[in-house]
Amino acid sequence: MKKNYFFYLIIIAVALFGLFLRFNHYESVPPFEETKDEFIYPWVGMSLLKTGVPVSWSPYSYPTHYPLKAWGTSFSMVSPYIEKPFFYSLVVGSFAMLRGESEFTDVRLSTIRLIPLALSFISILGIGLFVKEFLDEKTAFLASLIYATVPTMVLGNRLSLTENMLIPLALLGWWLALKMVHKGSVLLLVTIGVLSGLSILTKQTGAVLPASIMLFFLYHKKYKDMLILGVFTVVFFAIHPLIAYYYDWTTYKVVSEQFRRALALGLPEAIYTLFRFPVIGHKEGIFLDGSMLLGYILLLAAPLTQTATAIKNKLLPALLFPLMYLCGITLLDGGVTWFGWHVFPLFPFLAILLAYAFMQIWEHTDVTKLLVIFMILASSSFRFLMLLLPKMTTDWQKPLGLVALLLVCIALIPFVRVQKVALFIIFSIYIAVNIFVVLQFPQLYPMRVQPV
Amino acid sequence: MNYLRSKLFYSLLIILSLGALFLRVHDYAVVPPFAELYDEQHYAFGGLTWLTSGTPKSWSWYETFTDTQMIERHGMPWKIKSPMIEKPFLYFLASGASLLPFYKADPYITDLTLIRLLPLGLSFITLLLVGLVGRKLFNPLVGIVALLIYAVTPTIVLSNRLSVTENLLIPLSLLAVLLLLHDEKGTRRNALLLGVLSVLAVLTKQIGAFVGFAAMIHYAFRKNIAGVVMIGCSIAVGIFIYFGFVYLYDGPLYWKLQNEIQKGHALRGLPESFVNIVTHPTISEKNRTFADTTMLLGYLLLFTSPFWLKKEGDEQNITTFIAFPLMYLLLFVIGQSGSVPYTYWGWYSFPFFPFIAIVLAQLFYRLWQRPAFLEYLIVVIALGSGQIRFLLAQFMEYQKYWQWMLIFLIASLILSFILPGKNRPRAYLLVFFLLFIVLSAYNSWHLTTLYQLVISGK
Repeated sequence: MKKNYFFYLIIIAVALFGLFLRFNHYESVPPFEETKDEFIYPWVGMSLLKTGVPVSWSPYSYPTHYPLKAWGTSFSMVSPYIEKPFFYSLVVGSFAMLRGESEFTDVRLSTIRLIPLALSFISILGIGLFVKEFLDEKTAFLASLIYATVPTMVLGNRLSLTENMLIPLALLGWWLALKMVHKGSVLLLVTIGVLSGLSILTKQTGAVLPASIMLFFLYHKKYKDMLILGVFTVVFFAIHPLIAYYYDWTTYKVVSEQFRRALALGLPEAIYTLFRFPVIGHKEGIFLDGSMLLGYILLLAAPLTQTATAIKNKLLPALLFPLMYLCGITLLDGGVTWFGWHVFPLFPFLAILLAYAFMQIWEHTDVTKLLVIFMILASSSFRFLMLLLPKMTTDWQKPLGLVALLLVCIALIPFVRVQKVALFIIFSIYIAVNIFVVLQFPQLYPMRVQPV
Repeated sequence: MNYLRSKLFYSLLIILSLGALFLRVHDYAVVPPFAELYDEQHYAFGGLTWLTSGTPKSWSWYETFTDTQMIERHGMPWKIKSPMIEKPFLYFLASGASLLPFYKADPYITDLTLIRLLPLGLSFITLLLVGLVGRKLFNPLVGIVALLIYAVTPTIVLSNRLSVTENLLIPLSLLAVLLLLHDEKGTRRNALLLGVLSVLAVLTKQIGAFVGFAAMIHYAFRKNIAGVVMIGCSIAVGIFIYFGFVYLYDGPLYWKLQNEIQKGHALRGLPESFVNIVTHPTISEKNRTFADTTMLLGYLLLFTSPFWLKKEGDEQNITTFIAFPLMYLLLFVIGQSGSVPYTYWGWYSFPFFPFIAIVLAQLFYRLWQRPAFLEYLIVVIALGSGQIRFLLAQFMEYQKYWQWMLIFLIASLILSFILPGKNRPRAYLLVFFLLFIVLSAYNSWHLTTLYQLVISGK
């Protein structure tokens, strides 16, 4: 009991620390106009609450649209805006109004980005709770810590986009699903149903949450629970089209088709794009981060590289959601239309798989495993440091070589305790570099404050 | 029975290798195109001038050379520098020797139909070795499947046509793997042969030292100190021979050159070599991306191999096998920044290719042995989307149907697992694999159009 209490305390501390890292320059990095999509949601929410008609900007052709000039850029405003579900819009819109931002041009990034920051706090806690449920406390702590500190994840968590709402919903939904499999209860099932529904009402791709949980129930032969969740899914799935029907069904159909075509543009390149374009926002804004690269490698390779027993007994909950989500992206996204935030919901699962890999090395140190991790993470950490400390730019080879040599020595040391201490130090350095990078974001990533 | 099986294996090995050679020979001088890279002429010039005049001369990027001369060939100027000692000499020698029968009076041969005969010959040896290593490491079926994958994958077919040092390093490293896999008792004869291979690899390219280092790891794991020392000495001998060659021509020039190469080129910029392998899938220049999902899946499997491959066979043998790509990767990551265009070239990743083919083959074998939905799904998404992309790049009028094609692949996969019948997933895998091989072969046959379409992003 005491041990549990300590674990929760640690996870809360990690979440608070993660929140602190996310707060640093949150309103200007990623910069204003990293994506104008951030303004879609508060505008929809505000207009819906004030007038009952959703209004926002859209890149698609609606029958009526008018320009809005604000902050040195223009938006093509449409009414009624019906291409996306409204849940996130209502949350962020009502928050903006509570903060006194009653007109569209009053909306500030410093306000609306507080929502994803708060959600990221829940996400970090959610990772801890979720992982503890199917792995162990150490891995849960590591996964939370990694998610709290990896630069790309910190950047991603600052953007006010629907995907940042999907993350905590998915984590909490899956946490409850695991509890449900062990000890079923109606209340749990209803909560999972509501979370799944909210996920669908956040974004269409949120349907992956109930779909993956239903598959998990199917695997555990919980057919009744699966059916009930299916009913929830269908009901919630019908809400958005019904709203669209209420406002303007013809426009909804036309815009949905445009939306589908825009996504499907090009040839099927999503899997490669995942690696070729590691971005937060647009395809041009490449942000190389070894932790993400290793995470993606581990995610895609997990079903192929883990034993069937390991997947069945341990990793299935960490794989079903991200793989089904990835499958959906592969089917929907061609190579042309690609935005970094489409894959944000994968991030917690990458952190979990990274933590799992670290634990594997901790339990059984092996020179080949260490070298693979080294080549991806150490070279990335060195790269980040060099970007921040330009004096190192010409002299990275020797220290990098020395670290490689050190790792080989660690792997060959016959004293387990010394080996563990060395591994702990190296992992601490990796986390410390991540934290340093996050604190120095204005030097690494474009920074722009939203004009007044 | 064993004899018959063995005979069948070797017959298939030779027939498939010949078929693969046929695929490589088709349009071999046209694609990759002449303007793709000029390193092929770099080795050809250096080798032929050395063999015919006694001094290696070739074009070079580096400014340290003082003895320069301008010539014009193939309608373009070439700045010839002498003595060409910036790189070890073995591949120069091989390239020059392969051109000697065609030499008349001009040692500056630019004709790719002649220059690329050497890599084509080396690719045939490599194909045989891929089959043999796969067989020894796992079983004959894996050997044949690995050979098939290596034979038809478009990126590999393209790579095997280029006359670059890596295409000599590949058979040398595979030969070393094969020797080590057959070296259960750690005989001195094998260690000696490995020593020779290590020397040859060092004399092919500096990074060729990975062959010796990987062999040292093999011996170190078996606590064979004599083997470790012997290979260590061989690497030293290789370096000594190279320096002998360098000092024969111009020692001080060599050190100045190294300074220019290290400071001005190899280490310029940030350490991004590893990430380039997946962010810039290319045959040559960084910006000519030829994204081939077969390679991507192979890299994923290869780089995670320490986490899974050891469970698939004899642990020590597999550690030996993994040691080669990992040591290469290690030297590559430390030796080259890769962040600016001239510090990363596609051919740097060629030595991974045979290892990729073998791990992919083992994966297919495992999928056949133990069908599992998630494994199938990843393979179908990765390879299926890649094949559809390559195919539709050539049939633009059908591009809009890619989603339906992919949905068909995934839906039929789901059905194969849901519908009753134990062998349905296997039947699906067999059809999928055959389709994958046939489409890969088709795409490799049409590389002349496909390559330009893909790299131009059309």
